[in-house]
Amino acid sequence: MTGQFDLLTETPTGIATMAENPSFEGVEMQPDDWLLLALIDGKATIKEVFDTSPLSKEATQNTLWKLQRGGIVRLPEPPKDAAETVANKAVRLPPIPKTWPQPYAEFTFTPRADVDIDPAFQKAVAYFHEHLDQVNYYQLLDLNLNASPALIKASYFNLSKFFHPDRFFRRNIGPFAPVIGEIFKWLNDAYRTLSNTQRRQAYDIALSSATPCPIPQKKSASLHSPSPNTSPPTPAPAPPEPPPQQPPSTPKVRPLAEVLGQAKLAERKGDFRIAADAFLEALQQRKSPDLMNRAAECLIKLRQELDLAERLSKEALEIEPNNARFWVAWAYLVEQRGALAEAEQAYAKAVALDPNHSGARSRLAAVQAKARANNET
Amino acid sequence: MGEPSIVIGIDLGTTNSCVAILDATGPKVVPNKGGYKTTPSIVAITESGKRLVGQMAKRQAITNAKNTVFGAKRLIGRSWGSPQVIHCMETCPYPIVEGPHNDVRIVIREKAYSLPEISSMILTEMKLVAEDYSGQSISQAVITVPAYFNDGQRQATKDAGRIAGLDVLRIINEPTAAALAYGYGRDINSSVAVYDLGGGTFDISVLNIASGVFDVISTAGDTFLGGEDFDARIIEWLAYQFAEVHAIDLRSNEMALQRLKDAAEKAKCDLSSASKVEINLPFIWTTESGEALHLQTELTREVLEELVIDLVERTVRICEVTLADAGLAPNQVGDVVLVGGMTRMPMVQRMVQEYFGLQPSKNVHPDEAVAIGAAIQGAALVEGNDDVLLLDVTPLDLGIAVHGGGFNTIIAKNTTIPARESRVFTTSRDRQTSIKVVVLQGESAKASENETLGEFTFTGIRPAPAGEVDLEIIFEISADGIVQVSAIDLETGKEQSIAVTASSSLTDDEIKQMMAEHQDYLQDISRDDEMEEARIQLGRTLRDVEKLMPQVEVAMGGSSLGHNAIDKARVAIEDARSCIDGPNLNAIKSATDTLRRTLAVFKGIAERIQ
Repeated sequence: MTGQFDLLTETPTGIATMAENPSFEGVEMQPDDWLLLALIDGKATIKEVFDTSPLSKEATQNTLWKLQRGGIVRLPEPPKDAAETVANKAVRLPPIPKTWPQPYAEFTFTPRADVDIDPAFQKAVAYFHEHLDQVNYYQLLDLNLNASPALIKASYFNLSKFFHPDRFFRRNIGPFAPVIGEIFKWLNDAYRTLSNTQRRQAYDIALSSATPCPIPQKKSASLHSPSPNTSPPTPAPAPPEPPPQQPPSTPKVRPLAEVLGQAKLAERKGDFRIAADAFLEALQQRKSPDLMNRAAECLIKLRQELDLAERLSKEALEIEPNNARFWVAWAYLVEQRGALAEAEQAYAKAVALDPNHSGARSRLAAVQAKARANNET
Repeated sequence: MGEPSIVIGIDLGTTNSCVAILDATGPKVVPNKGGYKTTPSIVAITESGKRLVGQMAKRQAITNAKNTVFGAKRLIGRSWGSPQVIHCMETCPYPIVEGPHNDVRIVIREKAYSLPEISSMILTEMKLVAEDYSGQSISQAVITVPAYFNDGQRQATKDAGRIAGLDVLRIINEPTAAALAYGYGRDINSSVAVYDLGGGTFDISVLNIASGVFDVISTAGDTFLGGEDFDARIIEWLAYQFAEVHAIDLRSNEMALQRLKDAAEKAKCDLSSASKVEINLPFIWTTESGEALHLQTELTREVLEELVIDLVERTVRICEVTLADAGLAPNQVGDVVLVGGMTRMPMVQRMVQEYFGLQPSKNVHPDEAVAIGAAIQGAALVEGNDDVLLLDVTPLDLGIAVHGGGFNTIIAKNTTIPARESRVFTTSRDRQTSIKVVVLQGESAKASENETLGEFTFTGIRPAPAGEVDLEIIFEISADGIVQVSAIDLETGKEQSIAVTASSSLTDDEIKQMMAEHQDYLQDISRDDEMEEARIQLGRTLRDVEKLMPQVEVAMGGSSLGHNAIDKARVAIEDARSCIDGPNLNAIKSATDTLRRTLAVFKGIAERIQ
C-alpha cells in the first residue's frame, strides 16, 4: 500500500471503499467530509466520485486524502505504469501543513542546481526545516491536539517516507544532508513524545503553560550558511524577497553551547554586560533556573535592570526553592529595595540550606545588625 | 537511480547462509548449484590447498575436522580472551589463536585466517550463486546480522563483504529483515513480534508496521543462544549414555565427536516431526584391544524437550523484557513471525504460542525470510522508491566512560536511527587540562564490562578547579549505523571528534591485502574451470583418435604415406597423454589442436574405406 498520491494526475480506475469499522476519533469531520463520504458507497470509482462531487477538484482530493489518512476510507492504488510515468514527471511532495505561522505560498526559496533533489522538493524541505523550531509537535505532524494514536502514527509514517535519510541514499544532496537529518530527528522526537501516553501528557501540560511552544532542542544545520562539516561549493543565494514575518537581518539561533561558552567566559572576565546578554539569549533556548539565576547575578553586579533581575530570580526560586545560591541573589535584590525583613528571611533561608555559604552568613549578620540599628533609632 | 544494478540480500548465518534477489516478479531466494536454497556456512581447506565452501566442505568435515571451520559467526568481531572465545576454544576442533589487534584468528593448514576472511569465503560463494543465477556480475549487497550484534561485530561483517569484493550498502538486523519479508506487498497495520532462533543466536524484535513503514520499537537477544546449543545438549547426552556403558568419553576423539555432532543435529531435526528417533553410530570407537564399539540408542521428543527446556525458557524471558521495553502486553501483539531453523521445534512453537496467546504466522519461510528481507531493503535503498521504509533502532546503549569507572548512556538502546544526542560533562580533577573520551557500547553500568568502540583525548582545557569547565559530548548515529562522537569545550568552543566505526579490528591495509589474495583465489577458480574444460576436450579427442587407430592402420598400413601419418598420430597421442594431467594449460590446448588435425585426417580415411 502506498501513501498519498496525486489523484488528479493519476486518477486510479479502482473503487474507493469505506473501512470496515472506521473510527472517527481524532478526525475532525467537517460537513464537506461527510458529504464526500456519502459518495463513497463501495460502487463508485474515484473518477465517479470526482465527477459527482460538489466540491472543487482540489478540495475533493484534499478531503479524500484526509479520510484516507484517518483510516476511514481506502483509496485504490494508481495504475502501476501511470504511477511510474508520473513519478518521472512530477515528484511527490510531502503534505504541507496549513497551520504554520508562515503560509507556504509566502515562503520563498531559491533551489540549488548542484544537488540531486527536485526543485519543488527542495522548497518543501527548506520550508519544513525553517519552521522546525517555530511550531509545536502537533503542528509539525499536522494534527489536532486531540488526534488519536492511530492518526499520530499515520502522519509520522507518512512524513518519514519523505524525510528519512534513506530516501536520499548515496545521492548528491550537499547541504541538504544535515538538514534532512534534522527534520527526521524532529519528526522522530515528535512521534516518540506524542505516541507515549505519559510523555504526551507532560508535553500537553508544558504546551498549555509555555508560550509560544516548548522548544525541545536547537537546530544546528542550515541551508543558509555553510555548516562546518559540509562546505557546499557555493553558498545558497539569499531569497530574492524576504518573507514578511521575518526581517532579513534576524540572525539564526546560535547553538546553545556557543552562547553558554561566551556567557561563562565573559562572566569570568568580568564583562557582566556581555555575560548577562548571553545568559538571557541562552534562556530563550533553555528555561533552566540556573541560567535565570546566573543572568540575575550578572545584572546585580552591573546594578542594571534590577526589575528584570528580580523577575528572573523569583522564577528561578519558584522552580527550585532549595538552592541557597538562588536565595542569596533574591535576598540581595530585596535588600537593595530596602525590604530588610524580607532580605533577612531570605539570607536565613540560604544559610539554612547551605550552612557553609560564607557570603550568605556575613550578609545575614550585616542585615540583622542594620535591622537592629533601625529598631534602636 | 540510473544504471540497473542488482543488489543481493545475504543472510550470513551461523550454520547456513542464504542469498536472495528482488526482480520484476518479486523477491526470491536463489538456489545454489546443488539446488538447495541454503548453503552450509562451512569453510574447509583440503590437503592440496583447495578451498571448499558449503555442502562440499560439510561432506568432508568428518575426515578433515581440524581444517574445517564452522560457526565462524560466533567468533566474528569478538576480542581475544572474551568468554565466548574461550568457550569456542574449548569446543571447536580447529585451533584458535590471538591476532595482532587483540582479535581472533583461526589456523587452517598452518595459515592464520582472520574471521572476516573466513566469512568472506562464504559471502563469495553466495555472490557466485547469485551471479550464476542472474547471469550478471554482482557487486552490491545488504548483509544481515543478529540484532544484538555490537558495533565491532557489524564492522567485521562489513569487512568480510569488502574482502569478498562486495559493496555492502547496509548491514541490517535479521529480525527486521524477516519483518520486511513478512510485510512486503501486504497491507498490514499492526504490531508484529519477530522471534528469530537460528543456529547460533536468538533475537526478538517488536515492530509497528503500516503503509510500508517498518518501525522497530524494541529489540533484544542473545548472541550465544541457538541451535548449536541444543545440539550440544544432545551430544552431551549421547556421550553420557556411551560413557555409562563403556567408561569412554567419545568427545575426546575428533572424528567421533564430529559423528556425534552430525547425529545430534539430525536427531534434533527428525524429532520436529517424529516422536522418537533411533541413533545408530556403528564403529564409533575402537578400543586398545581392537574391539569395535557401537553407539545405539533411542531419543524421544520428551527427553529432548527435558534436555533443552531451560534454553527455550531463556528465550521467553528475553521476549518478556523486549515487550516491556516496547510498552506492550503479550496480547497486544497482532502477529508473531517465527524465523530460524530452530523454530521448527514443536516445543518452541508451543511456548511462543503460550506466551503471546496466538498462533504464530505461517506467512514466511523460516530459513529464507531473512535473506529476502535483505534483498528488499537493498532494492529500496538503490531505487529510492517509497514502497518500503525501515526505521531501525540501535540495539545497545551507547555512551562514555565517566570518572570512577562508570558508564554514562548518551544514546539509549531502542532509539530510532539516525539519531543525535548530547550531554554536558565537567572536569573531575582540579587543574585538569585533558579529558579522555572513551566511547562504549553495552548494557552494564560498569565501563569495563562494555565494548570499547573507540577513544580520543580532548586536550587544551583551561586549568581550573574541578567541575568548572563544561564539555558537551555529542553522539550521532547515521542511518548506516556509523557513530560519530564529538566533544566541544563550552568555554572556548573548541571541537574534537572521531568517527568511531573507522576503527575495526582489521586495518585498511590488511583488508586490501586480503582482497588481493582473494582476487588471486577467484582467478584460480576460473582458471581451474578452464583447465577442467580443456582436459575434458583433450580426453574426448584422444579417445576418438584411439578408436579410429586400428581401422586406419589396416587401411593405410601398406603405404609409406599411411606409415608417416600413423607415426605422427602416435607422437601426438603420446604428447597428449603426457600433458593431460599436468598443470600446463597451454600444453593441453596445443596437444588438443594437434590431435584434432589427426582426428580430421583419420575420419577422412575411415569414410573412404566404407
